[in-house]
Amino acid sequence: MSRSTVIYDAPGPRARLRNRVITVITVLAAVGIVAVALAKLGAKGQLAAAKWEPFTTANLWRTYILPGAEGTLTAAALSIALALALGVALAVGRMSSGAPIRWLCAAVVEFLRAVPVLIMMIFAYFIYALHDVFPATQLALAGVVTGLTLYNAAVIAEIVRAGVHALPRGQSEAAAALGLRRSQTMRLILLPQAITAMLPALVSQLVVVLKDTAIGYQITFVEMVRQGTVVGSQYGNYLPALLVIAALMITVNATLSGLAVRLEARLRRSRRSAVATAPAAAQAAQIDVPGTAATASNTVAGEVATGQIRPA
Amino acid sequence: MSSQRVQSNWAPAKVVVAVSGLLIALLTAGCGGGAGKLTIGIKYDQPGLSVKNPNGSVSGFDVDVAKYVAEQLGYQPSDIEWVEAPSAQRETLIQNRQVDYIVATYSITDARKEKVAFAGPYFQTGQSLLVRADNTDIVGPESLQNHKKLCSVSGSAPAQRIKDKYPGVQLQQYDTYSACVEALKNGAIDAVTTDAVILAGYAAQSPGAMKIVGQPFSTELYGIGLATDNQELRRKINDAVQKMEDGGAWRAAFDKNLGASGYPAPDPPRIDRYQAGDRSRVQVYGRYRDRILHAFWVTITLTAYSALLAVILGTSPAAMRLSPVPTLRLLGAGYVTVLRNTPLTLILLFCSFGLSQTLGITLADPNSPTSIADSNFRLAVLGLGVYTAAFVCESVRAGVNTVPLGQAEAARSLGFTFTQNLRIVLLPQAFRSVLTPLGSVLIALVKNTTIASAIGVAEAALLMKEMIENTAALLMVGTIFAAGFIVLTLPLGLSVTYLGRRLAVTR
Repeated sequence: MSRSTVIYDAPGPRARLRNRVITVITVLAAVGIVAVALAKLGAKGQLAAAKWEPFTTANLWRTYILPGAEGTLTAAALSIALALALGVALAVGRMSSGAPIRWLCAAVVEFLRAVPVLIMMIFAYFIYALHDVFPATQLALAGVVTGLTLYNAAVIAEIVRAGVHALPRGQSEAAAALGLRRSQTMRLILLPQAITAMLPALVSQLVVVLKDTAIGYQITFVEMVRQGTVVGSQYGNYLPALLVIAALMITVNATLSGLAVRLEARLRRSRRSAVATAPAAAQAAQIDVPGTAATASNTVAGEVATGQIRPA
Repeated sequence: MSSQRVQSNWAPAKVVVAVSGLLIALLTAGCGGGAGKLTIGIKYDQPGLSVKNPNGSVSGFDVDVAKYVAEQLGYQPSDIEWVEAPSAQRETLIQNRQVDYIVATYSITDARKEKVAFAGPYFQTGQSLLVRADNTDIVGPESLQNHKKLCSVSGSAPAQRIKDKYPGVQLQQYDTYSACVEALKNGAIDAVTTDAVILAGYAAQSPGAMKIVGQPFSTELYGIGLATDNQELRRKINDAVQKMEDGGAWRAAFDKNLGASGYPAPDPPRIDRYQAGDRSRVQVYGRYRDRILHAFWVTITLTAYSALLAVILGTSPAAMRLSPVPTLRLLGAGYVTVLRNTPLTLILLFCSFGLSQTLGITLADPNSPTSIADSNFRLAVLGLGVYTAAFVCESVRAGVNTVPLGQAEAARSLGFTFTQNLRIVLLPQAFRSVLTPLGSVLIALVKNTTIASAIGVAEAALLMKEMIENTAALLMVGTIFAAGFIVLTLPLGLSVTYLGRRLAVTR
């Protein structure tokens, strides 16, 4: 069932001609816009070799961009690791049989999802400074990691919870029949399956974390975007510097996103069962959006069940 | 008025005050009352405010305030011993009892209140800009953004504030303001920044050569610093300052020392007879209430406009990605891939530096007095809208995928073209089924507006940073802003979920 047979008819001679005309117009328009932008940039001297040449020197990379990349990667790695641990804990807590724990974890998750990451970063940064928790050189990193960990833990908690809920009831029923305790069921049966199924969503969340390290820009954290502006002011090539940073970030993030899609396709192929792999959850979670993961996985389950129009 | 508050709800403080007052009275009685020497800390290098003259005398507005207070306390000018109090040493001088009190452009902050007590404030000022008298293109901090050269003292709070808020400014840092003013006169830099009254002092040094422009963009209250345990002295100094302000001596001192700068005398601030330890949490909210509400209002309008733009912009790449034309599909996919994988901070910086400053796309009337604020706001709407559109696109596409096959097939068999099919059959159903995910995108947008502070939009996060720096009530400030966002996002989430259920296409 190819998509062309669903929303529109297979193109006949006239439709093909029309499609070609549209293609030509689109390409012309796109080329035109790019040309105008380039012309304007050229007129402003932004395309001058002097503005771009610094990027071929090793010093620029060594002094500015590599430390920035290091900062971004360190913060992202620490945050995703901590967020994963905290997120799984919150998810388990939210599905606990004890009502007070459930409510507490639910409240924490809802709180963390409602507060902007930047607000949490600024708060953490200043509270660490006030109480001398971290050495001054690590202060910004600590603030960034705290903000990212707290927010992403909440999102991961929801992803994991959605994953557990999407598992067939038979799994926990069988575990109960075998005499496993609730904690054992969770640890041995449900979580491993849920986390595998949610792997694409978790990889996508890594993209969110990588992107969000740039928010640390505002609490003087040395990461890619901040270093881009430093390069810009050092060499007087603000715009080229930002463009180079953007190209680097997009390449890394798009690669990761692609990985998430591949993982998802692979998981889907390897499982015939209705265990949700939540492709839309992977996309939705990337929005840094609370609540989407759960909804999206429902959507997917519905899709699988009714055999509707497939995503590309 | 504040004494009433003390009486009504601060009984323990009252006892402390009474006891310490008694102690002071006993001590001073033992020492012989108002006779003897009085040691006052001042600055020696602040023209117009307090300078040490070549002949060894001191003069300036701060000095006049210090002298007036001393006189009210019963000391002759000859009883006063002046001590230099550089900024970094003021708290130490007071805590070690090396001075009785300090009058030295000493801003009252909650962090300092932990260590010393403040009488006053006796002067209200704020960070401002000093430019050459013939300069016409600098009207406020925003006009520095376009790579204007600004000078301030290395590592000082004003320099930092400007650098964070307006990354486009070129900051020249010298060790002293005098060096900055010299560079300004030579034309090497365009503006000097620090508290307006300090700038006024320099302007008064060479009348007509320089002027202060723009509204102050922070609030500094100068107080008289003294030891925390000397409440009696503090009360007397407060009375003296009150008398100076009421009796006209305050204005006379201002005119004499700073009048030549052309900087109009502000109204004297109201004396703040706060209680030590009574940094009421409510006060922080009270003092900033209007600005907090305004900042959140900016957040709300920013969200509303960006959301509108995102839905309009986001639907077309969604249609493109579903269309029969491969090029359009490619273009739609490219748009989503690029925007979804770029940090929002970077996108906003592009809007500010790329679109606005380099490509010359102006979104606001450049001659309007609020042009920078307007333009920043509109650029932020553009950046947030374009970014969020990628997520709207993906949600809508997911929504189209939930519409049962039969719908599209039925439409086709009725002879609908692709556009008709999309417009009449698919999109209306798709939008209804993705209301909840779209709502989540909207909530994410509300939170993402905080990132607009990177290009200086005066929304909640920007104010939060300022409040943290100016008040020590970190927990209070954090709570206010966290609560503000929860108030915005939770009802939004609930109502979207409700609407999503209400409007879902029943199958």
